[in-house]
Amino acid sequence: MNSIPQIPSYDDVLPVVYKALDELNQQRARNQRLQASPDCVIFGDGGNLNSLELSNFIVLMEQLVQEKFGAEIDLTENDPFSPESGHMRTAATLAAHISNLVREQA
Amino acid sequence: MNSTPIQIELISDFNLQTLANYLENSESMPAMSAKVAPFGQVVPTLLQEHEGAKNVFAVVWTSPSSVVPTFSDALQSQPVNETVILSEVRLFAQHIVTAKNRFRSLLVCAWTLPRWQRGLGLLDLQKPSGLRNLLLKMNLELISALQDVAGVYVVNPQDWIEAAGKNAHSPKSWYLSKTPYSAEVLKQAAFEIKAALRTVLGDARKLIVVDLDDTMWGGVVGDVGWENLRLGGHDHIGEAFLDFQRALKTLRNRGILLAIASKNDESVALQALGQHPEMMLRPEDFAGRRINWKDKAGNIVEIAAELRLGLQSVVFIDDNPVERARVRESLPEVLVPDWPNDKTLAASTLLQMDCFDTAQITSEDQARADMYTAEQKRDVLKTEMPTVEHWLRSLQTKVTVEALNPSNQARVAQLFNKTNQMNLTTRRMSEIELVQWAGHDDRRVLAFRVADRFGDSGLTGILTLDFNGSDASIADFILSCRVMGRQVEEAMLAVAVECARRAGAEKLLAEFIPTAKNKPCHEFWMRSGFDRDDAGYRFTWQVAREYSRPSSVELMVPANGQHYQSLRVKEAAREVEPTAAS
Repeated sequence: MNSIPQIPSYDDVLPVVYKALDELNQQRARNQRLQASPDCVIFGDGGNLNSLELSNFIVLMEQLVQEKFGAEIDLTENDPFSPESGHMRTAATLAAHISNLVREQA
Repeated sequence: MNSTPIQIELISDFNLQTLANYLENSESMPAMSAKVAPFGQVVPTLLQEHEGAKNVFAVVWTSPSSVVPTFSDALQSQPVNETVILSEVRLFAQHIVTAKNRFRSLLVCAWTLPRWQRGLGLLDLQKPSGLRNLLLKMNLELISALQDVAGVYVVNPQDWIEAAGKNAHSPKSWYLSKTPYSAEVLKQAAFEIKAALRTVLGDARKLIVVDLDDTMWGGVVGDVGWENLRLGGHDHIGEAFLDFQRALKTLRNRGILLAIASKNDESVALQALGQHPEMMLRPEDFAGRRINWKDKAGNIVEIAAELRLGLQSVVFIDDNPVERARVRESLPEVLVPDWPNDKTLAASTLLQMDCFDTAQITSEDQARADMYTAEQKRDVLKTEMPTVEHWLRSLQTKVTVEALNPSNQARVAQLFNKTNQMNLTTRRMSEIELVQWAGHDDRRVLAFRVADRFGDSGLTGILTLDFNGSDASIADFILSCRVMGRQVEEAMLAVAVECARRAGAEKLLAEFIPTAKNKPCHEFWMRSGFDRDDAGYRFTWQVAREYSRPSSVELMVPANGQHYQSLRVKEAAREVEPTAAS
């Protein structure tokens, strides 16, 4: 069985974000799929997820965090879509936010 | 399969756009173009009237309270009248029946409840006021109301929900996007909907070619002897092999043919099949076999040809990855599933394959394996007779002709859509479209059943005629490959000519439309005796001339529902006219 980190680091969370992006890509046409990288834009300038895809991504991300780290988080709180500070801007900002959220809960 | 996207409309009271996205972007076949009807508008969408959507499929997926309003009261623990609920279910079913005229086929999802909706808890299934008690009755009522409606299939989304696991129902998805299910459920739904459409489109596999050693039983029979094979007994692996054989037998009982391709000494393998006391499958269960040391791909080609099946009908099962890779590479049309190393997974791996699903189950399907056994006996007789004419006469072939009617239209539609080789035009029509086409006074659809001394091949021929003044045209001339070459073709033409004569036609016309697979049909028409144009595609018969029924075939019509009477061609044609049939 994989060891489950009590407090996941940014590097622990980033692959989980990629997994959620991979799942989301299956709902998208081949030429519109998102590339798994830290600067992959999820929401904001350069992003092209519609509201339904964003909803699906949030739900999927929360489920994966629960499964992987045993933490129940809510990604719709804390102004997620703020252009300056929203955690949904990129894969990297999201991974950092989740790492902090889980740390706060621990 | 055709790569033109299949159009599908998703009708629901919740948001199915994610399902549409999965259907359009999944790479599994068929390719699809999905449209989501305005959500929350289920009944108005079903009752909408517009033309030109006949090639569109539909999925109707609703929550029970949206289309059965009284069920909402039950959800709030208010007393409800079960009779009222069931009448609302029947009304919804009636809306589905109305809508089916607009669509090629409809998949109607049975109703489910989320796991967190506990209703009466311990008593929920048992008490009449329990939500699950009511829901079971509602689903049974829905199934009962729709079970005989052509082109409508009630499917069970509970299977999709279970496959998605504990996160299947997502309250958060509901609040964010009005989708009660997680994306995983919708992905599974897309997978199953595509499988269902492949079934409706008639792409079912018909033949399993199976290896023996370490696939049907444990061990190499040539090394250990049949007495020491692992099969049954008090051994978990032996039991697993026996269950795999039982699964194969189950499919055989559904009409899927079995054949063997094994590298073995034939006598040794047959001894095992015949003598092992726990062997579930015996030699007579297999419609064909190649037990030798030759290349399996070549053996599979020979078996398929012998059974008159295309390679696209074949599934090959072998425990050896090298053999699987070889067949995959040389015969890409053959489906070669990955096979588990763990033998305890073999039976479930086979039974979960959707490629054997069919849109209708007819008596012909269920008897198909026995029919092929009879065909083997015919072939043996053929080798024993001095001439083909002797053989044809010895078969004592009886051809029964009947008009299209409610009792045969499912089988006629099935044959219509899956016959390739003896098919004049390869026109495809759903059961609904066929009945509509036949509804015109100047058109006739005749079905032919074929039997001989070795058995009943069932409904295996279709002839459709279109009358237009002094011309009569054969719109479709279809015969199952199971009975090709027994002069049934000539008997059908004799009936066609007589029907044309009785309708006042002077000429009977047929136009052959070539496909990659109907060369045998063209060869028959070229020797049919009909006049033909220079290209050899248009055929004509002057109706004043009788077309002789072959002497080896006896022509019959059903009479009094039960009994059959032998007739001449003229009498047969008269008997199947609309006035006589009614």
